Amino acid sequence: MLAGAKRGEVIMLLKVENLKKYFGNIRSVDGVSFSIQKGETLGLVGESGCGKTTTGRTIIKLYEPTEGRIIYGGQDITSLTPDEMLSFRKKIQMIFQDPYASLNPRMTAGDIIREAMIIHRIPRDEQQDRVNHLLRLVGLNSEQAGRYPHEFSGGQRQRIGIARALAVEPELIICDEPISALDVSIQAQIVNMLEDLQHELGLTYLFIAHDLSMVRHISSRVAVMYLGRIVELAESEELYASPKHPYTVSLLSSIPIPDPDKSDSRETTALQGEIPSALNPPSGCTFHTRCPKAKPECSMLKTQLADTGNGHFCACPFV
Amino acid sequence: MSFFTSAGEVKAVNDVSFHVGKGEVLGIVGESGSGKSAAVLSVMGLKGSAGKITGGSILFDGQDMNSLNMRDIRGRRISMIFQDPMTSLNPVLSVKYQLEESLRRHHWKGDIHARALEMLERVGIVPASERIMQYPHEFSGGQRQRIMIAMAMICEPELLIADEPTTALDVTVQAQILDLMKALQKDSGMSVILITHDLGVIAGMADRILVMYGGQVMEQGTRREIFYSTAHPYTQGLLRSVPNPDSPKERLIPIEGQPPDLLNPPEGCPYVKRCPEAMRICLHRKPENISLSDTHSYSCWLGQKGVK
Amino acid sequence: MYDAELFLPLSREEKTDAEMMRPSRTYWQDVRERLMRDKLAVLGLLVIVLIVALAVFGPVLSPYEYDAQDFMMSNEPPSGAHWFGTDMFGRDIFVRVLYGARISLAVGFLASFISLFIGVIYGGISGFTGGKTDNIMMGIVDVIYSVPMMIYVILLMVVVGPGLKSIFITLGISYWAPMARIVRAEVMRLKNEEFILAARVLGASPGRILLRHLIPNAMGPILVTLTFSIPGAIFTEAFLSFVGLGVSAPMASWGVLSSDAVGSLAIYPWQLFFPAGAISITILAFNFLGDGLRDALDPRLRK
Repeated sequence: MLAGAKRGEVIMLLKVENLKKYFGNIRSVDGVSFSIQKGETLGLVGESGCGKTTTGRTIIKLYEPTEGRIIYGGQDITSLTPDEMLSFRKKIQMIFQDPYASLNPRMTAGDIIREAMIIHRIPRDEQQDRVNHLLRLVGLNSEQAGRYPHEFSGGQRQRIGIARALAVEPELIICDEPISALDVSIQAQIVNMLEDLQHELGLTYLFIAHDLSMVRHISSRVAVMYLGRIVELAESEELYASPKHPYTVSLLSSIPIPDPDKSDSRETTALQGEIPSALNPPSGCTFHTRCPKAKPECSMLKTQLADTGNGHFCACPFV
Repeated sequence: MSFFTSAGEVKAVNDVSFHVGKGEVLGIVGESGSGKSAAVLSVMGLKGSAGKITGGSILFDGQDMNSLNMRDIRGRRISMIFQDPMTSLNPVLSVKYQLEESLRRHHWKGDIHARALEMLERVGIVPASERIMQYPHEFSGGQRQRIMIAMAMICEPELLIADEPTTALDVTVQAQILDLMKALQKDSGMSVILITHDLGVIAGMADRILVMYGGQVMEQGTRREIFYSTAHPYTQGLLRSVPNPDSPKERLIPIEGQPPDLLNPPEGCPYVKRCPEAMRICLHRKPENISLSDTHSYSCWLGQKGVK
Repeated sequence: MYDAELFLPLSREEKTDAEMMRPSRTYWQDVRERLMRDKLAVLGLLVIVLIVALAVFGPVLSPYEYDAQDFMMSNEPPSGAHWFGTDMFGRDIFVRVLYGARISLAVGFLASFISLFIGVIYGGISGFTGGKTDNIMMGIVDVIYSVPMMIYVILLMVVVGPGLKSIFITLGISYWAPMARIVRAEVMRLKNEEFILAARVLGASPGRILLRHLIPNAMGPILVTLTFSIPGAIFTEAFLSFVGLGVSAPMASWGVLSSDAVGSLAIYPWQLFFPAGAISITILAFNFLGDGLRDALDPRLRK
């Protein structure tokens, strides 16, 4: 059904409606809604504990959602059984954060990439060619297929992880902080490669990260999360140029700028305090305890993402 | 300085020389394996059982560190804060005990408890008189790093070494901690060595910057010299590989290749395999240090290309 | 000062050569190398190999039968003809100790491999499934663990009677419990690692995740536990035979030999010394090997 679409037409690939994931009393994700169009990159940013990783893992059904719906290509996949899910596993894949923990240390690079083909019953005689092709696609060579993860550098391991995700020819890849464990000089290599692969293979990304400047670079739209909720969502340039939600404003002004003069001349509004516990989130607008513009009524306000025009959504009613 | 591992000798730092002036913030920037931490740990005499200083000397306040008693220096005149605030505090001792212990050990003259309270208040943990009785698990990550800073500064050290002090923290908390460190440094006039991989942090904090790669100093200079008159191809590559804030969508220019294998370091310049300007001479001969100004120097054969 | 030739740019080939030239080594090659550097572990391994070889080939090469009685030669001290002396029936103690080694080692290895098999599967399933299933399965292990072994032994004595069969059943019932606990703990630790999540995202079945990902990565602790459980089983068999619940005459295990010799300890001490010494040396050798293995497998020592 996707293949029949015309060029330039906007196709909703993934739609998440009011997604909630509670671990006991911890409200890790608390009512998140967004959609991703085919071919775009949606950035999902926030600080640790904001629920961005849990959101990604719930979409790919590593966790069972507590509430809400996940719709992929028009089909509700929220309550599929593991068997029914198998065909969707080919369409949605994931790239992980830690290149040291995300590869099985007892398997060779080739076996790691081949495993997906075995699970999805790709004929044995095609497997070796595809492994070699995938290794080349991610900038490694086929002689390296017989090596073990500990023989590769961090950046190379991340490339193997990407090749593993690509082995099933997915449409959507959830990138869960794929560069945050890498050195600065390697981050740019991986980001460039992800962009190239997106163009070549027509991939769609959900790019989860806390590095706001990289998210700005790679994403077409960006969603900002705080305590399990999206507080702002907009086109990436729009969001960075004119952030509306007080949290986004402080978050952006906290990024250190790698330029001495700009860094000196910048007005910073360091946010007070730290993120409250998701075990007992503040009432009303959950940001009111740290918000520089908080009003008395904020603690009772039921906030909701509202369109402020041009596809710019914000959860704060006072902007 | 070398580390001995089961796989052989790892040369962490090779022929590294630097100095820190009084009241100055020296930033050391480098990626993992660049030797930026090893260079500074050796200053503190902390190098683990596998490490060994294989040559060189360290002068502190004009005296050779080998002739000084490290136990008196450490914590009193030079102190340190580390990356992980979750493991740097002893979980079974109260904050009060841990703050006062250092004062007692170094025979602080004056009211120990009052000094501990003052310091805790100074780093923004309030109400200090109540919170000082609590244990580390009752504080958040950012607060623990504040306590670490209070502990490091309680004896009014002349030099503070901060090893990736904000890497484990979120951006908004990082901004708070950096502001705090800047204010404390201005008030006390102490010298700081700030080790980090974050170019943004170093641009905002350091007076002078040392760029390290593969255990060697590639370039050093004032913050403006490093960012605006960049001389070394590695520094140039590093600055280019982060998104440009003015045109964020522009394609990034990464440094190609992988970091050097420290077990088997190149004979010449450690950056030779990844350097876009690499020349034959770089393979086998270590580059000499070239001065561009009183404060700015770099180690690269490019500077001698025209010299015959 | 310098030759201009030296300042020519490097070609791409010159930059990329000699990269990744270190020979490929697997984890187990590393482990073997570290183990071989541990002198005590190597000694332990050599002793075990020697004892196994003697147990298998020794009795065949000896001129004496383990049950051949010669009353002219009873209670002889060690000599050139009888290296370990003879017992009260004139049987050669050397050949009886070697023959006992067969039984003791067979019990040790067999019981440990049964416990390996049951323990790994049981612990793996329990740890991987988690939740209620895990609680129930581990509850059963706790019960088995809390019943003293002597109770199984006494019950089996009544039902089955003494002999090798009841020793095997006793060891089989009780020995897999510690292995199951260790495997479960390892699986619990590993199952939230990102490479397991990656396998789940690819659609790998639970069985595949367990066999291809979890158990290979838990092999280290499993191997160490196995190495330590072999001497445990040998000792248990010796103990059960010593108190009369094991194999009976004329079969010989180290426990039976020790038991027979206790009565005449004051007059013929060598009759106890040799079988008891064999037990000690074997247990010590396995412990040396187990310690060495544990160190060699410890990932903290890895670069």
